[in-house]
Amino acid sequence: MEYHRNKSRENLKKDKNKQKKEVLLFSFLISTLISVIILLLWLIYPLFISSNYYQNSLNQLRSKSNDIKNEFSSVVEQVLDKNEILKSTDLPEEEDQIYSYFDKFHLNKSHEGIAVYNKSNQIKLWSGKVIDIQQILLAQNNMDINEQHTFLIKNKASVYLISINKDKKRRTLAFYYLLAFLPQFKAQYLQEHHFLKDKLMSNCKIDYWDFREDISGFERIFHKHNDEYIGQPRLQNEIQTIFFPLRNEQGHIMATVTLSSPPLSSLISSQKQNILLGFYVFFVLSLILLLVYILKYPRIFKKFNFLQKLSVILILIFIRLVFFPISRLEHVSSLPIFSPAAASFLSLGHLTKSPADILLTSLLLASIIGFFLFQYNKYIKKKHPKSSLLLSVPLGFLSSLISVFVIHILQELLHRLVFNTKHSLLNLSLKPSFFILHISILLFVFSFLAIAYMAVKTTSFYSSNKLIPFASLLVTFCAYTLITISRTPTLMVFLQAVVLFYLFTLTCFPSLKKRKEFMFLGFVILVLFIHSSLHLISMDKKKAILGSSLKNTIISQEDWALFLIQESIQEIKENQTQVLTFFLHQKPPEIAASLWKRTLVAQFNWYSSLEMVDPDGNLLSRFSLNIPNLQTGTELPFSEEWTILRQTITLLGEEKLFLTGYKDWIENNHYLGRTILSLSVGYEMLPFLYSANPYFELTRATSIPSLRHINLRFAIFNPQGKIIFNPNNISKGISPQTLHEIRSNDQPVWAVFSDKGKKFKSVYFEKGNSIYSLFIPKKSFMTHSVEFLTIFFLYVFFIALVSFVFFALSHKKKIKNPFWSFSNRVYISFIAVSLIPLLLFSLLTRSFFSQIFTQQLTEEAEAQAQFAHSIMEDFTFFQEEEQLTVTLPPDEMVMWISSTISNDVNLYVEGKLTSSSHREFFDYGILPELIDGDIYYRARYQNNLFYTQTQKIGEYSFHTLTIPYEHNDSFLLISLPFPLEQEEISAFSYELFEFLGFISFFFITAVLVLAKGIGDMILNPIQRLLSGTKEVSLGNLEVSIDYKKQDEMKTLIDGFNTMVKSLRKHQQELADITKKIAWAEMARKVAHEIKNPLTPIQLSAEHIMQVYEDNREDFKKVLKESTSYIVTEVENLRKIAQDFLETSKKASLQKETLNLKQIIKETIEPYKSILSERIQFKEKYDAEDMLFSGDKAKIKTVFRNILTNAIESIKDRGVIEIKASSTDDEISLEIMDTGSGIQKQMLENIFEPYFSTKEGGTGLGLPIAKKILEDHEGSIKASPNKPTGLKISITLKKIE
Amino acid sequence: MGQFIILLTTIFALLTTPPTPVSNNIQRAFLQNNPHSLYSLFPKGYHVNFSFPEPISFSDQLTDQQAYFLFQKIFSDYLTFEFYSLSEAGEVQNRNYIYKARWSFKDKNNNNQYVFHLFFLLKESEKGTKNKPGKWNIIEIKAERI
Repeated sequence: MEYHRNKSRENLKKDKNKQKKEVLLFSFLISTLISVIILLLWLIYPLFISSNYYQNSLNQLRSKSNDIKNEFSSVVEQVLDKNEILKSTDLPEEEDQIYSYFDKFHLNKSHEGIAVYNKSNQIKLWSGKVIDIQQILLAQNNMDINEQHTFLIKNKASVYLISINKDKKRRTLAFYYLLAFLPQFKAQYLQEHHFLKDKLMSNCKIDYWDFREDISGFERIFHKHNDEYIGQPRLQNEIQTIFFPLRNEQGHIMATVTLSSPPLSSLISSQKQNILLGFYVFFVLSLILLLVYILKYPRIFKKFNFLQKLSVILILIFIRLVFFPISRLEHVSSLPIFSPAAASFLSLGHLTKSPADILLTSLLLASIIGFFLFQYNKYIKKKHPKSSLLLSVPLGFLSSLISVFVIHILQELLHRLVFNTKHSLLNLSLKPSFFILHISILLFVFSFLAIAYMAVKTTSFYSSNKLIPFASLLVTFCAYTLITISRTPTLMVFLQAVVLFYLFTLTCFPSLKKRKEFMFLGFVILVLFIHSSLHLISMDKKKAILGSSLKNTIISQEDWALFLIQESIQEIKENQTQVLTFFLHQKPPEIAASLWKRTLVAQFNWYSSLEMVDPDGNLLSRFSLNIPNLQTGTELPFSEEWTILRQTITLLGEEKLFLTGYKDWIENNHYLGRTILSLSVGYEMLPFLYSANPYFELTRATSIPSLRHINLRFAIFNPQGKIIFNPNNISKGISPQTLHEIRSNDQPVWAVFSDKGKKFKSVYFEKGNSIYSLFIPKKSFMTHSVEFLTIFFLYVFFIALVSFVFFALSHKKKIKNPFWSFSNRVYISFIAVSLIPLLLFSLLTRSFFSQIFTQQLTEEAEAQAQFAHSIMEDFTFFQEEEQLTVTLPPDEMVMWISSTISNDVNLYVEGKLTSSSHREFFDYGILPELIDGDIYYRARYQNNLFYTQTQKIGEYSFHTLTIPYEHNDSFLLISLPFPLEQEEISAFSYELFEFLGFISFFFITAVLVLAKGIGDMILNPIQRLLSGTKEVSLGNLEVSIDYKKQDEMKTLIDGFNTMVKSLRKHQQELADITKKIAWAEMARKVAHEIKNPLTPIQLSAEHIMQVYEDNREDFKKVLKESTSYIVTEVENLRKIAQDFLETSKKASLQKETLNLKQIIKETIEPYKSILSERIQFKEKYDAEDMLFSGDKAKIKTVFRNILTNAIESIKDRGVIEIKASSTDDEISLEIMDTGSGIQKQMLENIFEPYFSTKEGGTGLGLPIAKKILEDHEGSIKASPNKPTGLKISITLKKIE
Repeated sequence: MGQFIILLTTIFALLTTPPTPVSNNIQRAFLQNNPHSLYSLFPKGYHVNFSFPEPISFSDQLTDQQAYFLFQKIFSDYLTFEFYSLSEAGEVQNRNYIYKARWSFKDKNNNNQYVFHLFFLLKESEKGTKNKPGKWNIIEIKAERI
């Protein structure tokens, strides 16, 4: 019955397996089929799309144009709705109440604004995005604008939709909607903005038309084409366009829109790429499924042979190759992980051209080598080690050579990877590429070390002497060190040696793999090796960047300036008619700006100025970007041709280098004037320099983002080593020793210096009369530790994640809930209690220090603003004293203040810009000429000393600090923009993170040690008690827990020990009683059965006796008859005895077909799960099916009795080994323990009943086992186990 | 005022040495959409500065190997229509030379066409002789969209 049950269980398992196999095969076929269908679709797709394409695309364009029109209409409606609110409510009388009135409008200040103008059309209060339209209001009657209707105004870089309304007191209220921001400077922060969503802006071009512009031409066109002009393509490669107007509620054209759809060929190409992506996804999926199928069910190849191995490798390679075309697809290649700029290096077949490629290649390599390793391990397990001195020595050297070569290649690979990536692999980053590169590093390390492992394993296989592999490694590595020591740092060589020796130790002594501490040590060594490699290579890279690349960037700055000035002069030459016209008529006045915009200098946002000067040296027109008015043009010698000069000009005590190109214009022998183009060769423009000036950062055209993680700093010194340009505020000049070294060296000089408690590594080089220095912070022990720990925990996380996924997918082991165990709960509670405050502290500290830092910056800005204020007041006071016409400080004055305080300054009168150190930003409309309405209101009606605010332009945000003051009834505001000092804050935050990380590690370690100690103190006796309880549950009543401490636990444990002792006593008594009862019962039954035949025997015997005494004649006959009765009854008695024996046998054995392995597994499992910490169970079966006929329960009793004896004989830790083998007709089983064993002379008696060497033992276990086995026609014998313990050997009759 | 005047234009004219083989290599790379000849011009173990506006949108420094793959990607995404030199008299100072070229190309994905001015800052790493031209390297590339 049981046999059938087992059979059906096996069949069920087989069915399940078959089902799985079918599902896998089915999934593979479906996936392949889908990929083929997608490929077919890819081929025939153009046929579908070509027909009627232009009609369809026109419909799409029309639909999009309707969406745009609707969007614009909703903007118009919003503006009119606000106008309705204006109409329906009364504007407060008092000015200070007007601002709170604005709240009714629920403005979105990023694109909406509101302003109030007085009767004289002067702007009084405003909020949000606003421009001053005083001039328009003044000329309202002459213009085509009506109250309560919308109109469009283009103001410099901004485009507004406006509606106006007048109240009863003739005050004007204007509502503004910012439709577009179109900055003219090209810079990363100054992006165009339109009122449309990004989705609608694709392939869309909008031109806005000011209400003052003549658009009658457009009106005619749109009237003729019914507001929709369609551009029909004639060729397949031409785009289709639709041109339509955006009208306001009155039908006036506000803007014209050109929508275009991509040409057919481009659409087909783009759609085909999408289809191809789908094909590749399913194709790769089918390849993976095929790979899994071959690995799981190798029998498709009859045997798991060469063909199967080859196909596995080929599929892996094929999967990798498929990613080449995938990475070229538009959607894929645009992903940052496929960007070569993130990381790429040259390799065979360009397998490492992006982070994703590096990962895929490392994965392929690890898969192939992992597969070989798996096969190699399987192969080597089957073989018995062979010892051959002849083979072991050359093999030892060969494996050492391979290992050294492999570690060298690994080092080279790491070098290439680190050198050719923009990421800092030592600082944790949340970018996917960072994680991808680290996973790749782990995979490469695994692959290369696996090769070395296989080589060393082969050597150890042929070498019984473990010294040979180590000696050969030592010799080989010494030779390698001698060759590479000049190129490789000593630390690296040392770590390479440590890694290799560890690997050799692990391979030659495989038992060490079971030692957790040894494996942990290996992991630490590996992380240390990777960390040190990354650090040393990063240092090499930084040295190359600083000493070579950035040095050239500095040196070439002047070359670029020279090139740009030459190119720009060419541009001005091409517009010389316009220049001459200007000199003759002084029109247009903004010629300098319009000319400058056309030059290459403008394209590069190069700090420069273009001036037009009359013959008397008066400035006629000027434009500058970040350059003060030099006023040096008049001192230059006359030159009718364009001349370029190199000028060093002292500005506010600082020498600045300029390249100046100028030309004197003469027309008909009449001197007209001079054009001067000056370019700064200032180092503020260097792409790697953070200027900490919002206005400088706003126009930054180029940057080097990958340098951010270097924490680079820069300084310029004079030939005496005194600092002359100090953007990073260091306090140290160059030491005389370094200065001497720099002078006596043509090459850049490296030195270490300390400043404000920090050490820096600096490179110095000379150029002209200056010494330039680029420097980076030198890493402290704390930084190294934090970097090491970052990598360590990152790799722990990767390994844990992979293990989790592996176990979850393979279903081999159930993943236990960590809170299941009481001990885990105790440890986790301890750690949580300690860590939560630390984490809270870290978070709060960071925000607290950030707040302090911002506060400090605000205080500095306030001091600067107060300084600017006092200078401006002095300026006015001086004018009054001198009885001059009092004027407000002009731009030049503000620029001077700005240079003095090293911060930009803007001066506003009644909220409108009057003077600025960077007027070009306002002229170009990058910054609004009206100060923020909120600041103005607060400054006007609140009595604070200063006001701060965060401003945002494009993606760039900065702070402003504003100080109000009054002069001659004018309300003035001095406003200073100052950066959030993000660089400093982030550097500071990183240092804080570093410090907290470092402290946290030691804190966590301390907590863990403490938790372990305290936990052990609490948990150890509980665990011992638990273990004892488990053993008792298995029938081991020999357990006794030793606990010496005198505490509450002692009472509990003593109670347990007494309980077990009493149980043991009761068990013994119970056994005795049971035995007695059993004997009595048996005697009763035997007596009852025997009693019946005894009566006739007795009667027959008495009858013989009577006949004999009576001397009767029939004595012989009676004797014969009675004897016959007696014999028959005796026979009956024998039969009864035989029946008893037979009955007892039949009743006790319930035979069935049993599998020895299964029986042992079932028996041993409870012991294994409970005693695994104390006793190691080893099992070895020569065959899967070792079948015999037997009583399952009785056979289990045999094994249980033997195992119990073995367990009881092991006092502390030990091993129980079970070996099963079979011959044609017999099954042999050996159960060996490493317990106390039995003396040889006593061995003969151990199967005798009531013989026991244990105190309190019944002496029945082994005799019962022997009896059962004999009943099964088997045998049992005992012998000593080597080196200690007992070996029990059992034989059973095998059945087929 | 401490100013000194140097008639740089005269000196430039005298020092002009247009590195023809370099410009040929650059032209070849763009016209053949092949980054190999450009790669040979990037100095080894050096980080070259790049600045490209939209649609390429890239501004950073790269090693020669990264630059090789970046150009491989650029050439696979964009097709060159024309590429010709705009450099006239060479501008040589500090053994540097700025090579200017016009590059018009189309985006293969959407057929959009673009025109760039490219500026290659070249540095002479080995001085040339009468018989042997000097060795020039690209140390910076800037581009402006026209």
